[in-house]
Amino acid sequence: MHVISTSSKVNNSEHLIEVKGLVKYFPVLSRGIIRTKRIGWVHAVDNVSFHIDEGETLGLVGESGCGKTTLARTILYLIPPTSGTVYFDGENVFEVFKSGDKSKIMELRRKMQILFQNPYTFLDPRMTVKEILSEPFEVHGVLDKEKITDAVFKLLDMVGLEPYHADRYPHEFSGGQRRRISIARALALEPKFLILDEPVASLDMSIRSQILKLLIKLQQEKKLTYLCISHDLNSILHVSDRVAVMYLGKFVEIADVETIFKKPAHPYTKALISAVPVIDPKTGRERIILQGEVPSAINPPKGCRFHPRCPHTKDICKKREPQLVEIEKGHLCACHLVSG
Amino acid sequence: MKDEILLNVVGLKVYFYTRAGVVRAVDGVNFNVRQKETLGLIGESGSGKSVTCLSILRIVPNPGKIISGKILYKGEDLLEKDESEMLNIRGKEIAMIFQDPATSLDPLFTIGDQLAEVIRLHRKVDKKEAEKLAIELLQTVGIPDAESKIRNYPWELSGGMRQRIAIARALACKPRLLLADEPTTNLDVTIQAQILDFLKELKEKFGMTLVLVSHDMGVVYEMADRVAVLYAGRTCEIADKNTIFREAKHPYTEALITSVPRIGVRRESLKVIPGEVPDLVNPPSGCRFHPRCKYAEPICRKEQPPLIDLGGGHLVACHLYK
Amino acid sequence: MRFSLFSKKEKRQKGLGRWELAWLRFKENKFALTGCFLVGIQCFFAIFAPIITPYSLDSEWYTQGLINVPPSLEHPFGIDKLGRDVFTWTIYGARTALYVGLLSTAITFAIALLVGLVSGYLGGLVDEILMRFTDALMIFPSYLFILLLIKILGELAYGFSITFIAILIGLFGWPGDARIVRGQVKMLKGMDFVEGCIALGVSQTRIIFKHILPGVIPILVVSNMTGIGWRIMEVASITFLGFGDPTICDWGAMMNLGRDVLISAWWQTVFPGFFLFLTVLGFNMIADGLADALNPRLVR
Repeated sequence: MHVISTSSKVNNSEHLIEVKGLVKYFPVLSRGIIRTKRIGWVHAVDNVSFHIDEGETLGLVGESGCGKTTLARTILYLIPPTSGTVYFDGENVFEVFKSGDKSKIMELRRKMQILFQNPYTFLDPRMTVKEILSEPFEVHGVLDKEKITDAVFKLLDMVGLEPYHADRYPHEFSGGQRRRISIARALALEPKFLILDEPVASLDMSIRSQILKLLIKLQQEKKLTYLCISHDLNSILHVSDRVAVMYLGKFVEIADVETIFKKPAHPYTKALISAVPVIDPKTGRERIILQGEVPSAINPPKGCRFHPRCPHTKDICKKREPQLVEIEKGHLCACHLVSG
Repeated sequence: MKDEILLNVVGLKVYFYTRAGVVRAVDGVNFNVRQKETLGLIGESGSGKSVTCLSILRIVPNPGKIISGKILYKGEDLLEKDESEMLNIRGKEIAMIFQDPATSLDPLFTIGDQLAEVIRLHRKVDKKEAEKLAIELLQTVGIPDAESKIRNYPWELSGGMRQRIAIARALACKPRLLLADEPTTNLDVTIQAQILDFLKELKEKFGMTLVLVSHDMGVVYEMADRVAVLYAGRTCEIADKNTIFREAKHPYTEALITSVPRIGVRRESLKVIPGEVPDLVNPPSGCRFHPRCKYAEPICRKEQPPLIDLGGGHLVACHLYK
Repeated sequence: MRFSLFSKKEKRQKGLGRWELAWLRFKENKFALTGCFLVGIQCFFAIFAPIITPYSLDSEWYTQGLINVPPSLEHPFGIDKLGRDVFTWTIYGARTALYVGLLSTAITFAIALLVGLVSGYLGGLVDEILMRFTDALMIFPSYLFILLLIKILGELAYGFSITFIAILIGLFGWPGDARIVRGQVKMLKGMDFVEGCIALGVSQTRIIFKHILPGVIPILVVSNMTGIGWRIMEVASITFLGFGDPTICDWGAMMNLGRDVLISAWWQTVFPGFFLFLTVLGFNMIADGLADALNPRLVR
C-alpha cells in the first residue's frame, strides 16, 4: 500500500484550503518566584494534513482534548502555529500574517471567518445588534456610512431576524437568536470560508434544526466552504460531505459521510459511531465500549496514540506510529491493522 | 410486584418569584413511575424537568415555591412531610445525580470524605468502617485503584470518573429511586456510553427505579422503558418507548422527533420547528405549544388541553384527541 | 392555523439597554437614593455656601472675647475656640471635602485605569513588572509615609497643603483598583467576542477602546465611588492628627482644634464630625447601589 499524501503543489492546488503538516504545541510552564520554566509540551495538534474543496463541508469530529478547537484557531492564525503551512486559495496564509502587509492581511480576514462556540460570549454585551453588525463594515471600510444601515437590515433578514431587533442588546435574545446574529456578523463581508466551531452546541433540540438548515441554505446561496467542528456526531454527519476524525492531536480517519457512518475503518471511529445513542429499534449493532479515558496530550502514548484503549492492539501498534494512508479512493485511515 | 407504582406526581406546580415576574417553571406536570422501571423525561430548557426532580426531593432553590400538587412516594405525599422526615428520605430512599460532575462534588474535600459523609448520615458506622464501605463503593462503580483514589480531590480526576463518583455517592445507601438529571450531557460520547451502560448494570444489580432526565432523545431511547415528554412546564405525552418514538400523537413530540438531526437521516427530511421556546413569565395562553404548532386551532389558544388516556397507558394532552 | 410568534407588545417595545436597566434598578434602591440625597445636600452646601451662611469665613468674634460659645440663634452651631462661627465653617467645609474627594479620586481613577489596562491587556513581562510594583505599593505603609512627607516638607506644604495631601492620597491609593481593572481586562480579553474581533481584522486599538474599556469603566466607577468616601475620611484623619495647615477650612482640622475642649465645647467637634460621617456614608450608599445596579447578569 503506497502512501498518497493529501497535499499538492504550492499555489496551483485545486483545493480551496490546504493544510500541510500543521503542528501546534503549547508549552507547559512551571512558575517559580523569579523564573518560569518550560517543563513539557502539550501536543495539541501534531502534524495534521488535509484539504477542503470549494463548496464542500468538511466535518471534524473528536472528543474533548483532541485538538480540534486549536486546529481551527491555528488555521486562521488566531493562535500562531508551531510549524506547518496553510494555503488558502493558493496563498500561504501564515506568510501573509507574518509579513505584516496590512491590506493582504485584511483581505484574508475578510475571506476566512469563524463562528464561535458559545453564543453567550461571542457577542459584546455592551453593543447593540446594529453596532455589532456594523463593525465589520466600519473596520474594513468597504461601505459608506449611509449604506451601512441598509446592509445591517439585509443581514438581519438573511438570518431570519427582524429589523426592529437591530436596536436591542444581546442579552435580550435567546441562544438560537444570538447564534443567528453571530452568523450574520461572520457573513457580513461575504467570506469564502467559514469555520463553524460547535454551531449548535448549547442550543435546545428544537432550535438546532433551524440553525443547521439556515447554515446549509446560506452555504448553497453564497457558495461557502465550511469546516464544521463538533463532538456531536449527529449534527456533523448531517451537514458534512466529508468527515475527519481526530484523536489526541492527529487525524485517524478521513472519508465521506456515508463511509464514515456505514463502513468506518479505524477502531476509534467504530467505537465513536457505535457509542452515539440512536433511535433505531433495528440496530442490532454491537456497542463498542472503550476502556479508560483519553490520555493527556502532554505525554501521548508511544506508537499509535490510540493503542492503550484499542480492542485490537498488536505489538507493532505500541512501537510505530501509523501513517494516514489511502485505503480506498477518498478514504484515508491511520491504523496498522487496516493498512497492512 | 413489577407494576406497582412507586412514584406518582400529580398536578405539580412550582413557581419562581423573581424580580422579572413570576416564572411558571412547572405548571401542571403529571406522571408516574413504576417499580424497577426507567422513566425517561424528555424536555428542552424551560420544560420544567429539572425543577420537577428538585421538587421530588423538596430541594427547590429560592425564590422557587411549590404551589400545589401531590408527589406520592410509596403512597405517601412527600409535599406533606416535614423537613426531618425528608432528611430520612433524601439519600436513603431517593437520590439524585446532577448534570455537571465538576460542581456536584465539593472541591474542598477528598472523595473518600464525601462518600463517608453520606454513608455515616444514614448508617451507624464509625469512620474506619465508613472508609471501608467507601472503597467498596468505588470498586462497585468501576474505579480502578480505589484505595488510593479515596485520597484524591475531585479536581484531580476526569469528568467520567467524577460522574461515577457522584453516582457512587448517590447509591451509597442503596436508594429505591434514582433521579438522574442529564447525567451524561457534559461528557464525551465514548464516556457517555460507558456511564449509560454502567447505569443499566446498576439498575439490574440493585433493582433500582430510575428517572432519567435528558434532552437527548437517543439517550432516552436507549435507557427508558416509558417516556414522558414535557414542554414549558406541562406534560404533553406519556407512553412506552416504542409508542413514543414511532406513533407519537402529540404535535410537539412528533415535531421534536423529526427535527433532531440523527445519523442516517437524510438532510432534506429534517424538519424545522418554527419559533422559540416560550417565555415562562408570559407563557402562551391555552396550550403552550400552540404558536409553534402546525395543527393549531382557535381552541388551542383558549383552553389548556387535559391529559387524556388513549388506552394502553398512552396519555396525551392535545385538543386533537378528545 | 398559525399564530404570530411575536406578540404585538414585543414588536413595539424598544430594547432596554444595559444602562437603562441599571438606572431602573438604581432608582428603586432606597438605600442608594438616600445616599444620593446625602451627597446631594453636601453638594448643595458646597455650591451655595455663601448664600446659606450668615457670615463669611473671615468673620470672627475672638476680638470680642467670644470663644467657645454654645449654639444659639445667631450662631446655630456655636462659636469655636478661635472665635469662628462653627456653622459657617462647617458648611464651607463641604467644599473642601468634595474637592479633596474628587481630586484624589480622579488621580486614582486615571492611574488605576492606565496600569490595569496595560497590565491586563499586554500580559507577559510588562504585566509581571507592573504587578510586582503594585504589590509593593500595597504593602508599603503609605499612610505613615504621607504623614512623614507632610512633616518633612512642612514649610513648603503650607499654602496649598490640602491639595498636596489630596494628591498624595491619590498617588498611593490606586493599587487595589488597578488589580480590579486588570482582572476585568483579562477576563474580557479572554472572551470569545474579542477573538471574534481579531478574526474580523479589528485593530487592537479599536478592541481596547470600543470593547474592553466600556466593560471596565463601570467597575472602576463603582470602586472609586466607595473610594471617594474613604479618601475624604483619610484626608480628614490626616488633618485631624494635626498635619497640614491647621487654619484651612477642613472638617478634620476643625475637629482637631476642638479636641482639647471636646467635653466642654463639644459643638465645634461634633458638628463637623457629623457632616463628615454623613458625607462618607452617602458616598458608600451610592456605591452600594451602583454595584447592585450595574451587576452584569446574563438574562437567559
